[in-house]
Amino acid sequence: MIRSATNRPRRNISPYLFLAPALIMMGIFLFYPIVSVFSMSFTNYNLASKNDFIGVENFQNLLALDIRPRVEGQTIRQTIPTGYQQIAQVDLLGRRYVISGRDPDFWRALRNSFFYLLATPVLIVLAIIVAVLVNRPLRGIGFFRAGYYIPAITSVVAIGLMWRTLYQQDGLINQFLTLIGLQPVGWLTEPGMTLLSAMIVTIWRGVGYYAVIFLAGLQGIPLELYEAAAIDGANRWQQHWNITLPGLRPSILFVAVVSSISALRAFDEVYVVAGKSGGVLNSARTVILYIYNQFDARLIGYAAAISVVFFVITVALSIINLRFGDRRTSGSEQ
Amino acid sequence: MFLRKLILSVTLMLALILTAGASGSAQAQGGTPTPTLPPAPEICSADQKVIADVEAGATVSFWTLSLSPTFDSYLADVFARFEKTYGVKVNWTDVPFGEAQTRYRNALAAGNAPDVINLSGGWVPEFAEAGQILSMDQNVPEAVRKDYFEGAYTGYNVNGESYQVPWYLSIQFMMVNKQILTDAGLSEKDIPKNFEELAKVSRTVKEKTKRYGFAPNLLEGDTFLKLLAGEGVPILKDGKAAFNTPEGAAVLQYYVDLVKEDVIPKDITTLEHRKMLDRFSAGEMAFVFTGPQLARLINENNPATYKNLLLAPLPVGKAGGVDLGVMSLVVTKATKTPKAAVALATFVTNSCNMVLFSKIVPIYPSSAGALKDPFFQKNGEKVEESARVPAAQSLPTAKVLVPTLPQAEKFKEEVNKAVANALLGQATAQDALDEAVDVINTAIGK
Repeated sequence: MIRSATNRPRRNISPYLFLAPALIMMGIFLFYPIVSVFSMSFTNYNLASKNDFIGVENFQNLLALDIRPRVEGQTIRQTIPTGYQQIAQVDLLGRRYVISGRDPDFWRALRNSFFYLLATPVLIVLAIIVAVLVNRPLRGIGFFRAGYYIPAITSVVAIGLMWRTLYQQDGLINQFLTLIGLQPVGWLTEPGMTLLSAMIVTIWRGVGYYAVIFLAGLQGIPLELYEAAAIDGANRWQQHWNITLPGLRPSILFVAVVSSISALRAFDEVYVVAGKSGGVLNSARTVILYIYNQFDARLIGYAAAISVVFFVITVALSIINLRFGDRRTSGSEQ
Repeated sequence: MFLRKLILSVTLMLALILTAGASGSAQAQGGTPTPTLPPAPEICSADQKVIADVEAGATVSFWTLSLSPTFDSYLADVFARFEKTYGVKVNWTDVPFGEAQTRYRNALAAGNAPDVINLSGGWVPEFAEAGQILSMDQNVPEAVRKDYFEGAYTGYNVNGESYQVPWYLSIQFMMVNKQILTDAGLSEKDIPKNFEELAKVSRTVKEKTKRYGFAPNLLEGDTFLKLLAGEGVPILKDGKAAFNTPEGAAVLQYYVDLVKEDVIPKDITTLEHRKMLDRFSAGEMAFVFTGPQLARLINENNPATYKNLLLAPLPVGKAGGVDLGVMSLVVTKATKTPKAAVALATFVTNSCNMVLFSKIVPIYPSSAGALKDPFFQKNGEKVEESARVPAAQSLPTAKVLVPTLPQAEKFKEEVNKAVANALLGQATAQDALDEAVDVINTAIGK
C-alpha cells in the first residue's frame, strides 16, 4: 500500500504527457489569446503608436447610457448630454424618453445580435418539418436528403454572392414579387430589411444541417411506439404530437443551444450579404461584425473591451439556457 | 446503398464545383494579357541620377497597388533601368486593391513594411499623421519636387508638408451612352454641362426610356464630399467640419429629390463604383462618372455599350475646377536605405517613365516635363483616348478637391451616414448634415 502511494504521482504523469502536445497548442493559440483579450481591453492598443493602460475607459465609453425625458421646445441635441448620441426614443407611462449613449453603434449592434436569435425557433420548426418529410422510405429520398444538405457544405461566400444577386433591386426575388402583383422589396437597401435578409440566408443555410440532426433523432424513435399508438386509435397528428416531438426533445435541446450560440455569433452571412460594416446605415451590423470593424480601424483595445462585454453576455445566456434545459429534461424524466 | 453513395459523391462534387467556380471567376479578371511596351520617348534618352549619396548595393522593397499581371513587363523594364542608373535592386510585390489598405496599416504598424509603397493619395495623411512615412519636402531635392504638378504634390499635405510623390493621375469624365440619348429623343447637344442640366436630362431619359439617367455611388468613400467641394461648400473651417451650410444641404437635397422622383434609383445607398460601371455597361443608364481608363472594362462587359460610348467633361459645380485622382508613392520611415528608397520613388515617377506608362494605359503623368511629350498633343483613336488633350491641359491647374480630413475614416463614415439618412427619408438634408458635423466635431475634439 505504501509503495503504491509513493508511486502514484509518477504514474499520473503519463496522461499529461499525452495531453501535452494538444494542451501546448491550445495554450498558445486559444488560452493565451483569450487571456490577452482581457488585458488588452484595459488599454488603448492600436497596433502602432499606443499601448497604454487606460483603466476602464473603454468600458465607460462602450456602456455609458443616459435616459432622460424629452422636454418640449428643446431639440434632441439640447436634451442629450454632450458626447452622447441618440439611440432611441421610448414612450413610458405617458412620457417620452430619449435614450442616448456614447457609443450608439454598440447598442444597435447588440440589439441586432439579439434580434438574430429569432432565427433559432424558425430554424428548429423548419428543420423538423424537413426531417419528418425526408424520413420516409420513398424511392430516391436520398436525393432530397442530400439536396437539403448541400447549403450546409457550400462555401458561405458562394452562398452570399448568390443571395446578393437574388436580393438586388431588379433581382429574381423582386421580379417574382412584381410578377404576382406585389411591390418590390429593398432587401439590401432598406435599413429595416437588411438584417432580415441576412437571417433568411442563415435559416436557408442551416435548415439542412439541423434537419440531419433531427433525422438521426427520428430514426432513434422505436417504430413499435407508432404501431402501439395506431392500435390505440391515434391518428397521424396525435402520433406526431405525442411520440415524434417528445422523442425529439434531446435533439431539439441540442439544436436550440447550438443554433442560438451561432446566431449570437452571426458574422459571415451578414458580411457577405450586407457588406463589411453591415450594409446601409450599418443596419445589419451584429456585435461580432462591430468588433471586426473596430479591429479593422485598429482600435484593438476597444475591440477587446467589446469582446469582453459580449463574452459576459453570452456566458450569462448560456447559463440561463442550461438551467432551463436541465429543468426541461428532468421534467421529461418524471 | 449504391444509389446513396452515388448521390453523396455527386453532391460533394457539385459543392466543390460551386466553390471552385466562384474562386475561378475572380482569378480570370486579373488575366489580361500584358501589353507590349511602346518605344521609349525622347526624354528617356538618358536616365539621370537625381538623388545623391544613394546607399551602394542596396535592395529596395516596393509594394504596388493592383498592377500585376497587366503591367509586369512595364515595371520590369523600369526596375532594370533603375538598377542600371543607381546600382540598386528592387524587390517588387503587388498587393490587390481590396486588401491593400488593411495590409499597409498592419505592415506599417508592425514595422515590417517595405521601403516604398504605392497607395491611393487619400490614404497618405493617416500614415503621415502616425509618423510612419518620410516627408518628401525634406528628402527630395527642390528641382525634382518642382516638376510635379502642384495640385498633385500638395494635395494630401499634412501640416503643410508633403509626404508623398504623385505617380499617375486620373481625371474623371462623364461617359455617355449615345444610344440611350437617341432613344430619349435627345442628341449630343443635350449632354449636360452642369448639375441642373443633368437632372433635367435624366428626367427626360427616365420618362422616355424608363431607364435611369445616372446613379452616383454617393455613399462610397468621399464621393459626396467631392460633390460638396465642387459646389464650393466649405468642408472644413479652422480644422472643424463645416459643410452643414444651406448650400451643403441643397446639394444633398438635389439627390434626395431625384431619388424620390425615381430619376435615380433608390438603391444608390449601397451602390459601389464597380457595380455602377456594370449597370452602365449593361445599358441601364445614360451617364456614369469614371476615369477613361475604365472604358476597357465596359468593352469587356458589353461591347455594344462600348460602341455607343462618348466621353464628355464632368458636369461642373459652382466652384468649377477639376478633381484629381492621385496615385502616390511614399517612403516608410523605418527604411534602412532612405536615399535608395527616395531614389526609387523619384525614378518611377520621373517624366520618362510616366510617359511610357501613359502610352500603355489612359492615365496621366504628374509632372510638367512629361506633358511636353508629343503624345499629349493629340487625341488617340479609341474613345477612352479621345479626351487626352483636354485632360492633359487641365492637369496643371487641377486640384484634389477634398482637403486632408481630421480622423478621415470617421469623418467620411459620418458624412455617408448623413447622406443615407437623408436619402432614406429618416432626416431632412439639413438635419442630417447638422448631426454629422456635430458628431465629427465631437470626435475630433474641437
